[in-house]
Amino acid sequence: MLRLGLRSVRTRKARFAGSLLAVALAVTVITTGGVLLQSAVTGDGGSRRFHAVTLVVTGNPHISVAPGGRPIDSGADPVGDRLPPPRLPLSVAHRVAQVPGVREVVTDVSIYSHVVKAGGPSSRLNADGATRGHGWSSSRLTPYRLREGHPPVKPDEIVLDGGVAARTGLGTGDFADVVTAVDGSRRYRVAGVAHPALPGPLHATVFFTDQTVARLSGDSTGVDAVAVFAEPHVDIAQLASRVRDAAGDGTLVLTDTSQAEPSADSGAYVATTAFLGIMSAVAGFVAIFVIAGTFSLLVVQRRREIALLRAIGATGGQVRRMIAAEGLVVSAIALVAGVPAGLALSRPLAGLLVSLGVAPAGFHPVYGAIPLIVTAAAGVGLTQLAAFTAGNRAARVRPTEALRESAAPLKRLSRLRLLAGAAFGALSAFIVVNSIATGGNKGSGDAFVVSFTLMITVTLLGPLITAQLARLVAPLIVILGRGQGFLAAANAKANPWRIASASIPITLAVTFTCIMIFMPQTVQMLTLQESLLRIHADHVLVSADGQGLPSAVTRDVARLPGVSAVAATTPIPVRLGMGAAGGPVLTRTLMALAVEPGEVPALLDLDVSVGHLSTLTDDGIAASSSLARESRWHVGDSLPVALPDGTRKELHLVATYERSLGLSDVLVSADLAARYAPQALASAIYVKDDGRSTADSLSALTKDHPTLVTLSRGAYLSQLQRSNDSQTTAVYLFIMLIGLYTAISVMNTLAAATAARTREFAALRLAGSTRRQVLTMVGGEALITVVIGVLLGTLIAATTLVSSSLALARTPAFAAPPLIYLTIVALAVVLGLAATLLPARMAVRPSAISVIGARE
Amino acid sequence: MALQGVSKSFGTGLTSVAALRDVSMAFPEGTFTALMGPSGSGKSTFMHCAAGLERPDAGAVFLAGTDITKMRESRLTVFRRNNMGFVFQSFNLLSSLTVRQNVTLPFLLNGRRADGKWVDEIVERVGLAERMDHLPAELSGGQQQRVSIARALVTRPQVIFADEPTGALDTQTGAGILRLLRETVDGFGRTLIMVTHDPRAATYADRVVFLVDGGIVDEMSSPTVERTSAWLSRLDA
Ligand SMILES: Nc1ncnc2c1ncn2[C@@H]1O[C@H](COP(=O)(O)OP(=O)(O)OP(=O)(O)O)[C@@H](O)[C@H]1O
Ligand SMILES: [Mg+2]
Repeated sequence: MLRLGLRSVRTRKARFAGSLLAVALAVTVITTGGVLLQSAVTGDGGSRRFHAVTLVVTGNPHISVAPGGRPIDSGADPVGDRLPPPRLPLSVAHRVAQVPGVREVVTDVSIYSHVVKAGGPSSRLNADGATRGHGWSSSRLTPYRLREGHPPVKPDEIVLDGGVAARTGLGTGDFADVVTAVDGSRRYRVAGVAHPALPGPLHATVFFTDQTVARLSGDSTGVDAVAVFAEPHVDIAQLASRVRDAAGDGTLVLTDTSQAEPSADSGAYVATTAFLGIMSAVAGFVAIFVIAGTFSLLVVQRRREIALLRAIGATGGQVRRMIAAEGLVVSAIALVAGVPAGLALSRPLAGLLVSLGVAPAGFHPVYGAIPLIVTAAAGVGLTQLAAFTAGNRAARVRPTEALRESAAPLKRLSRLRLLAGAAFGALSAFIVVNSIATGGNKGSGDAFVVSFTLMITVTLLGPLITAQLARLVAPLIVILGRGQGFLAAANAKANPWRIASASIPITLAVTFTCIMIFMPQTVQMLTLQESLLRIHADHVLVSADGQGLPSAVTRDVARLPGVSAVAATTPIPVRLGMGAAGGPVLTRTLMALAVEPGEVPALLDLDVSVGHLSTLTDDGIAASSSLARESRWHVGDSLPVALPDGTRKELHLVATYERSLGLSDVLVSADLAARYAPQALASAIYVKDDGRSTADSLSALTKDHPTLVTLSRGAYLSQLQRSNDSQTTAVYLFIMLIGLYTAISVMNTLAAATAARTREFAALRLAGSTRRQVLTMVGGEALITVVIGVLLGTLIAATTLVSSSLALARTPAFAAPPLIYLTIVALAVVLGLAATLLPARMAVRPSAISVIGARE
Repeated sequence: MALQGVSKSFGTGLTSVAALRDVSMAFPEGTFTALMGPSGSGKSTFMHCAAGLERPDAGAVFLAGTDITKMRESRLTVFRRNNMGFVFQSFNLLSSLTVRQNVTLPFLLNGRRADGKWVDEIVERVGLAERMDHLPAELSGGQQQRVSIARALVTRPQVIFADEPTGALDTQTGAGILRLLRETVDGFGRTLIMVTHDPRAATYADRVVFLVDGGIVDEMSSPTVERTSAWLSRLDA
């Protein structure tokens, strides 16, 4: 059978060229996606700041928050994994220093700092993330070497790293203003400039004296890390276990020092991974459909041949094996062609991601074995799966069909397929209902899955659905021209399988393009709408570097004349035990916003649904209604929480609120944050006037606070609207790439379907149709196909978007700019018509009699 | 080969068509039977049921003492492959295979090696020795039909079915095919059942069986052109 398959592939090059192209493209896409995804996952080399050190002791970020310390693990914790670990008490350093084999310990403190030239203009956005401040003794950990000047000795002396010096234009002897969380802005003198002794990315760094940085950390009894230099020739594994014993509970001893703190690029790599993950999922999904479609078409085209083989005495199993063998041949050739193409493509695409700002500058393809194994498995697996389903259908072809002149189209869906279709339909309905009931970000994310399950449903029940839709759409086409329109409509109704397999790729393309473009726009629109309702402030203050504003700004704003209310929102990471009180606890890190409950009502209308925000004291917590619903919390419950410094506490849920989009799902009191997270910075400061305008006096504050940006309410809201631009460009570009891939596949499917009808066209022409009439008929059918495809795609996309909106904001509204939507539709129509009419023109070119004469 | 009380209808309810009604017929070994009747009378259905390509609604079909209607699908397929040969009206060859490959296809399906000498002899007999490595598209209609006959003979089947084998051929070529079929009966002792509309083609058979509305209405041995023509024209009247 393999031989028969091979021979069939060899002699029908033209027919197989289509499926080969489809599978090879799928392989290319999977290879590229796999390589880039792996590169993003493994690309972050970690922090290099502790390069010179043997071991690092840090706080353990995976603290159990369950009462009684019941062991729990959250597994992946996307927020928590990017955060610095909790701080350590200084006593840990003393204990570790006593461990035999330890030559020396150095305590490290890391704080937010923003350096500008004294009196100079507010610096532009910090390109390489935040600048971190450390004590000078930490410079040995990397190590850094002084190029000029001397180490900081006096409290107002600092040493800059070469990068910061170059960016700010500061040199030894110059004065600098440095913004920190505890002090706000303060003047320092640059004592020297240091450079790391090793190449590669590092956080931008400023060094203070050890005493100064301890004071600036807000808690001089704690440190961020304890670095250990070992005696020479000490066994590191044994030393690590001794240090672990000495350091005690709540600590982590790392022999891989690169894991001691998140690297400068860690956030960027997480974002890149997420972006590539979604794009690869969509591309992979498209690939599955394209391959399955190709093979089912291959069987439809060859019904007569298969029936003849059956008549001669081939068993169903033999036919199935023949199709499987063809699949094997096709996938083998496709792998040989597609994998190198995919590898070659990953370099320019990685470059594109970097230049779009989606990936960090160091992002480059890493060619590992895993993507190749996955691709090979997927390529062979998918084609075999497609060949298996197609082969099953082929095995059901009855031998007598070979003996009839016109092969009867398959009329029935198999029972299995009907059942599977119904099951996926029911699953889709369940997901919609469930995601709306869950609500919030989780519900909205769940709703995204509906697009996949609906797509599968439509594919499984395709012929059934298209037969119904064709009945609806066909009358419109009859207008096209009496005879041809009628023929086109009749053909469409009589061949739901052909219409289905041709319209599914169009549905797929329309669905995903719409969702990928409209979903982020919808989230942005809803966020804006909620912000509009929520924000009652006249001014919103934010930071120029995106890191946040020190509390000194809030203090100074409150003193200004004409200001009637000020409220800062300060994000702090908290680890929360999710799930109902008393039940099993799953821990997740969330960014809670610390607010002054007394000030909030005047500035932010959170639409509190249960409880009162005024009772948000330092043992209280408030949650968005959707988070409360998801976690089955009720006002009055006491929730186990771990705070940024590692403290465990029980907080009482005092209120739930509705308007959380663009804010946060969790609120805590400013007092709590001040006590347990003195380093935290305000993400925004909301200001209300008492009637007098304070715009000028607010702007004047920027002299004292170089990172301060003051915005009117309107300016802040319009900035919200623009905030996503760089991601959006990348999304558009990748949608175009996936769109191109889908387009080629659509072309391929439609072209193959049309080319297979050469004989039918010839018969029509022998019956007296002109070429033109045949083409009109084909065009009419193509139009029906495209209309059905667009209709289904729009329905699926709309269902997904409406569910997502309902989950997110209890409104069915979603963003779908008509111009973009119409462009998508127009492209689908042009694509569908071109892909059908061009091959049809080729098919009617030879004289009819020569086609009929050339027997199969 | 024998059929016993075979009935077959297509469709359900109002659109149901009874294609065969309780037909019984025996085909002794080494005989050549022609099946005649008006269009739609059930000739093809009769052949398909006899050959196990279609399952009758009722009745039994015996070949070499076995009731093939009782066989499971895959066993029946293999049984068919080894014991029956088919020649169809339109020249059903696989366009991607050469003449030799088409002829030896049943062996390939059986997973056995073709009996080279036997294949050569058959090909010689049907006059295609020079055309063995051509593709079907490069052959004339008559030549293609001869390939089908060679394929039908290659497994040494007990029974050969031919549904209007000369329907698409000119008289001259048709006569050649019919002589070839006659020879398989005389030379190899096969049982041959042939559907035809052509009274002249029927004269090559030992007997003619007439089918009307799914039932056998008459039988005639040693048919001549005049008698069969007369019989057929009586039907029209
Ligand atoms: N697959 C089928 N589905 C429905 N009806 C069928 C099918 N096959 C045959 N029939 C019907 O059964 C009857 C007998 O058909 P059959 O093909 O046996 O006739 P025939 O004698 O071979 O005619 P012809 O000489 O035109 O080939 C016809 O009325 C036909 O419409
Ligand atoms: Mg017939």
